[in-house]
Amino acid sequence: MATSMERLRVLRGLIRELRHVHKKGPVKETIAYNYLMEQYRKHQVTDQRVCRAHQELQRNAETYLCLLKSTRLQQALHDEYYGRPERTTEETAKMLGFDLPQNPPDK
Amino acid sequence: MATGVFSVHAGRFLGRIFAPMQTIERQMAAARKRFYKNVSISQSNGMYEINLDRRKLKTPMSRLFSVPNEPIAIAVATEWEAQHKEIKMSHMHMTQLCNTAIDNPSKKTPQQIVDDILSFLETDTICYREESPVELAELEEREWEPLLDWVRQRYDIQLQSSTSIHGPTIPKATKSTLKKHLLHFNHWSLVGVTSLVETLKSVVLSLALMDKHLTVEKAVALARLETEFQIMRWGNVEWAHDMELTDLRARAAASALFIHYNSERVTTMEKAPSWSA
Repeated sequence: MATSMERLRVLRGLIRELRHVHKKGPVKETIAYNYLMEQYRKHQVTDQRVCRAHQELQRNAETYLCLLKSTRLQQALHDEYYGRPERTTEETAKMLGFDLPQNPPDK
Repeated sequence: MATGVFSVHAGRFLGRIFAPMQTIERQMAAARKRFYKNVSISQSNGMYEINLDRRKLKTPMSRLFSVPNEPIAIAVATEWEAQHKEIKMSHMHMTQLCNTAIDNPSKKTPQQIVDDILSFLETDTICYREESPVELAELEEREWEPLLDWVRQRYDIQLQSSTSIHGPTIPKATKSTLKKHLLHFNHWSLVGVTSLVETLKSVVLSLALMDKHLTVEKAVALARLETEFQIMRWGNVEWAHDMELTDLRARAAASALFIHYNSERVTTMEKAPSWSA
């Protein structure tokens, strides 16, 4: 079973990702944040009673964190490599770790 | 004169041939700008709808976008909120899954969807083994075999791996057991299962993720085991390998959540009032 430290780590991660989503305005005003906090609080109450729901929440939170994070990284990689006009020969060579023959590194 | 008439006609004729292609290109190239400021959710008849400012979100087939549960609606709203300058539909997996479920563009019945899902079993990643290089064969044995054991026990089925190009032979009983299991899912969940199986290229891995036997990260790692093996040998290429990795993780995570929230009736048990207080 996930420890409370582990749960907090995932929750913090989720809030961090939500901040990326809502660049303007405080994250506390967003629907996702409020829903998330409500769920976490609700399950805190049932802590003593049912473990299954608890574990399920943790797993879903991890999965959602994975979704938000992967989508953001995917977007970043896309912008870096595909989201701009064609590279010059020099840039392309650099990307692969090469220098063009006319400007060797030592000259 | 005659040639002039001919060329006009030819122009029209060619225009008729090429015009549709041009419009398709234009649609592909121009991403739509974000045209809304606020995203909100409203509830009507137990369904959740997404509002972009005052406008209601619709599906590609112009149906009203309405989803049966709150967590999915919130995930969709968050996706629309995450579009900062342009709307990039290719990064909005939850919205796409809902669109597919609402529009059902392929017009398939649950029976057909389940058959399609199970056709992946014949070429299931987990059952398709390599013999060389030896290191890869060992890695596959070490990582995949426990999962195969798990699925055999969990669903009480026969399933073997194979190194032949034809793949393993799937016993009829195995297919019918899994078919029975999958037919318990509703249409929305099955849309999620289809997407998950297509992402992981494996029915076994999908079942393990749906049953929460694996995390998304682990399931994706096992799905691209050979790729990871080659990366260990030859190095990682960020603009290909990492792009694929983040794409697969996002798709698998979206599908897993979509299946979970659409198949389970979420009930919360409040803590009973304590009588001693």
